[in-house]
Amino acid sequence: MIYIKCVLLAACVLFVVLPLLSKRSEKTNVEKGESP
Amino acid sequence: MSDLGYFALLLGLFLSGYAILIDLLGSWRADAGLVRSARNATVACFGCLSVAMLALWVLLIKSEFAVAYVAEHTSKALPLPYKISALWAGAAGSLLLWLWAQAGFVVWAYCKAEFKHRTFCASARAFANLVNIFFLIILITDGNPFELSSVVPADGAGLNPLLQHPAMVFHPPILFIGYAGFLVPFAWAVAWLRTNPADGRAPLSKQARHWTLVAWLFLTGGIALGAWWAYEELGWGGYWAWDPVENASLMPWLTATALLHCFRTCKPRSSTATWTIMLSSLTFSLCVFGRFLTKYGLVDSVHAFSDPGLGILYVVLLLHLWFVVAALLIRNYIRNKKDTSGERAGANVFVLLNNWLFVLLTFVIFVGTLFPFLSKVFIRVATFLFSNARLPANPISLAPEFFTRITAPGGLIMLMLIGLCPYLLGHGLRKSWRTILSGAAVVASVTVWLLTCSLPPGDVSGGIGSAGRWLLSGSPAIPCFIFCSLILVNLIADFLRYEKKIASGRKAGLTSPRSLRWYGARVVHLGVAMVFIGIAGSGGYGSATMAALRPGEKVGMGKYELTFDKLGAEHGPNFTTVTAYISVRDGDKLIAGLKPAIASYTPGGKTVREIDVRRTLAGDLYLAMTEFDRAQNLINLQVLIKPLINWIWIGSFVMIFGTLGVLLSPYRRKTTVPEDPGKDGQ
Repeated sequence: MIYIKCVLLAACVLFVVLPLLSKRSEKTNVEKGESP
Repeated sequence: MSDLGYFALLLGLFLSGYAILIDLLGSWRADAGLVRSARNATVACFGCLSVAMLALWVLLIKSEFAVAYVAEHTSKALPLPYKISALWAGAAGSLLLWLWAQAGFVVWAYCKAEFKHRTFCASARAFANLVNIFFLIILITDGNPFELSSVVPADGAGLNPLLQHPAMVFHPPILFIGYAGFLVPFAWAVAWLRTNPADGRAPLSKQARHWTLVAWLFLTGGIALGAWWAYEELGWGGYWAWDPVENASLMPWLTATALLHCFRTCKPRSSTATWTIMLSSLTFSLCVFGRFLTKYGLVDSVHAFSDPGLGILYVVLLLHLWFVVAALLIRNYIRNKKDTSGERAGANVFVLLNNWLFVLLTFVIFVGTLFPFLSKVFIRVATFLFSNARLPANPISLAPEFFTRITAPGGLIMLMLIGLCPYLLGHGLRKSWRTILSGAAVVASVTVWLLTCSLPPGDVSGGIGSAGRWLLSGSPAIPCFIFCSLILVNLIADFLRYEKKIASGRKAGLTSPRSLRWYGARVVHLGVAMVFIGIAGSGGYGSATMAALRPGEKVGMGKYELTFDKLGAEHGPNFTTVTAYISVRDGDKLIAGLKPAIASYTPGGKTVREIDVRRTLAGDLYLAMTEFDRAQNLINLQVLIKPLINWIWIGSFVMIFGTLGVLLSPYRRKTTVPEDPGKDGQ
């Protein structure tokens, strides 16, 4: 069971952190609809 | 497995908290990376809740009695469908289901929106996650479904026999999904308030209406299934007892219905915008309030859970939610007070009338539901202030008749609006057969009602014959039938007019697909009329009798003659029934053999009445065995005739069918259908 827990935790962390590491995280004026 | 479920809940709690902070930070800094991370956290939270749900299901199916929830709600002999439905049989499991559905709705609504709406979605998501985090805290601290038993029993306590019914497999989840769905319009309203509705934009308003309709569909289905379950399983012949928890599901349905109509004409800088925001907030708040009533047991109810626990946390949640709404409303009010530029759009008078009617009905039901609690508070305060005051010792509960009487005029006005509004909105008051018919229907309804209500029950018989006597015996039902007929006539006229328009458009060479939305809205109204026909017929013209019978003895009821043939026994996987065999004759003709029974369930030996019904569109013959004496071969049989009652179920199905039609009609694409003749719609 501990392995399943580790996989779940790792998957969640990766899923959440990846967008922060992405180069696409530059500031953008989202209300104008400009894609980053 | 219980470890995994609990771990998933904790992870979900952390992810929700993270999503709130990062969504607010991301929208404040307009950082797409942060917003995307928060969106992923919301999706991951939904994933964790799904894992928790699956873990609980595995525990229930495998009968792991080491987990307290499993031991309390299942047993080894329980059939598999009921082991699955045991997930929502207790307070903790039902909260988990609600939370899971809520998180799913948030993912569906606010995690895949277009890029230009990302900031708006981030605000909505943050607010929705705030609600989710509250629910998670309550779930983890108060009613953890994965908590282990101190002693592992050899067998579980089993599921409450009343819940072992096909309707109960579907009714609670459908109802909870409906409740959960109303978080989406609420979060939308708060996000809109945050962007300031007076700035002339209403992002995602069509989608918000669509989501509201989805939630409304589920709530309607849940309420209808609950009513059907009560009719089939509780054995008293009714389907609605105005129980506090039943009322708690009706109140958000009423405000959500008003909200759907409000969305239709919602424009920024109009009073309808304020109505839309308030109704969105009120609808979800009433859903949470219903949960509070069930959990905390503020008033007595057959649906209430026994342990109040931390049920008071729901009130804390409501206070937080309304604090956020009030703060944003005040901020916008102060900001817009200085802004005198631009015109403010007026509201449609029929929409306002509709809103006031539904809100008033909700208020009346709300006060009636809380009356025992309010009277208790009043008695205590009065006793404290005036020690010699002569006051009743116990809280005062209102009888179901109070609710029926007080809501009947509102229901009739609602039917009148359904009958008249589509026509008046499309054409206004002008000389036509429909105007004359509508006027005549209103005058006839009011006259009949005033006349029959002013007469004592015995005086309606003078010189009108048996048919007239029977008709007038259900006096409040007559205006209802008149208005339902008016709705039917107006809908048929609308359908014919619409088809004519489409045909003329085709002749002129225009491609004119039929609008599912247009049809769906009218089919929903048709369903409402059918439901009211069923309510009026079964309520106004029903009859009942009770008879003690021995084998061979007969009892007459209306045109039927019932003979008690014999008493028998049947065995099921976890129950034994004692069955009465009843032959039903209409004149000399045998038309049915009915088998009402009393079932005794194991473990615990709880008994439940199993009714039997002969169903026709004209009405039901409803039999319930209330008692039996095997030694003397004697039974007590309750016999009821419920005219037109099946139209309630048919009407509910028609409402759901119509709503599906509206939902299947795409809201983004404009159809090339000729101008909507009614210009209303739902």
